[in-house]
Amino acid sequence: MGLNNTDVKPTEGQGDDFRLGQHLPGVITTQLQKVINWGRQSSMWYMSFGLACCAIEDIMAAGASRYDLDRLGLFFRASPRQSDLMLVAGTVTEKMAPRIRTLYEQMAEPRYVIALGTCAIAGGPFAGGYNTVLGVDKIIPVDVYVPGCPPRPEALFYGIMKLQEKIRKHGVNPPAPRKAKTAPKEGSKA
Amino acid sequence: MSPEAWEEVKVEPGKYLETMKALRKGGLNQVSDLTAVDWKDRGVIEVIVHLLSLKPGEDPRNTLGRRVRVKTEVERDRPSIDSVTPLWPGVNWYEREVYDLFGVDFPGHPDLRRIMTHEGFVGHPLRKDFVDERPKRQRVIPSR
Repeated sequence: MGLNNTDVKPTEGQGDDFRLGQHLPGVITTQLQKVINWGRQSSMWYMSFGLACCAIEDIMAAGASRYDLDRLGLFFRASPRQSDLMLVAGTVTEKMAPRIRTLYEQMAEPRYVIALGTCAIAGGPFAGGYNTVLGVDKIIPVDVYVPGCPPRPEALFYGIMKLQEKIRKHGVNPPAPRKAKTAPKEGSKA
Repeated sequence: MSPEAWEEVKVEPGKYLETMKALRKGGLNQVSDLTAVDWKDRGVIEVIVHLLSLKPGEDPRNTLGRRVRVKTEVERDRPSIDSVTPLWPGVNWYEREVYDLFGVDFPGHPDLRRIMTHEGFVGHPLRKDFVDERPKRQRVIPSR
């Protein structure tokens, strides 16, 4: 099996990923891509990009002991260089947009982005404003959208689980992220 | 803070800096706020400064916690008023904000750049006749 073999279909769930060898005690046989993806999905260190109230409602609430993001292996890192996941929570202004792009480019690959809340998805109630970016996907590619104003922490957890599902389908080399939308097309689905 | 507790001063733009220097020397050592109002109908932009005394000064009237409001009206076409950043360094970003959102020029300011909007922004958004000249895009909530 080559390192670039992406044809192997992953099995559902994690239960079958590791099999104890029946003949050699203490030996585990598995597929390389499953081990790598397991590592990727289980330690997504996130950079919290809290821009507005969603940062309080979601990232702080979900990170605190009641909901506890740590139990999924997610830890807050203040530096983009140590982060795998960017949680964009809040309204993106045009002043902030180049900074978000820079920080995203500083993150190590594979990198993922979750857009949290209506503002980060499409501008929210501030979409008519003079300084609002209509969704963070105009600047950086977004993997998972978590709608709500603000979303419940449970919704964030569901979004993270969806992202883990996506990561489990990767080959050994993760696919290159798609490019950010430049401009929405006429009649395109938001 | 009740409204009666405020002393209000209205000055002409020419005597603004002089007045502020006197108030600063009198012991009003903090600027709580510097903002502006666009009176489009009268053709003026009113610059408003809120001052607070945190220690008694030379002026015997200047007690602890004295508050003074200074109002100045500048022309709307070419708004310009002397900067008071040399007197109160903390007012630096307030003047940048008024410059950014109302377009008021502050001669004497050390670093007068936009602060809220990005560098390529066109116009001053808190002016009453401001129109967003960016290209119309999808998903913008139509104004009523």
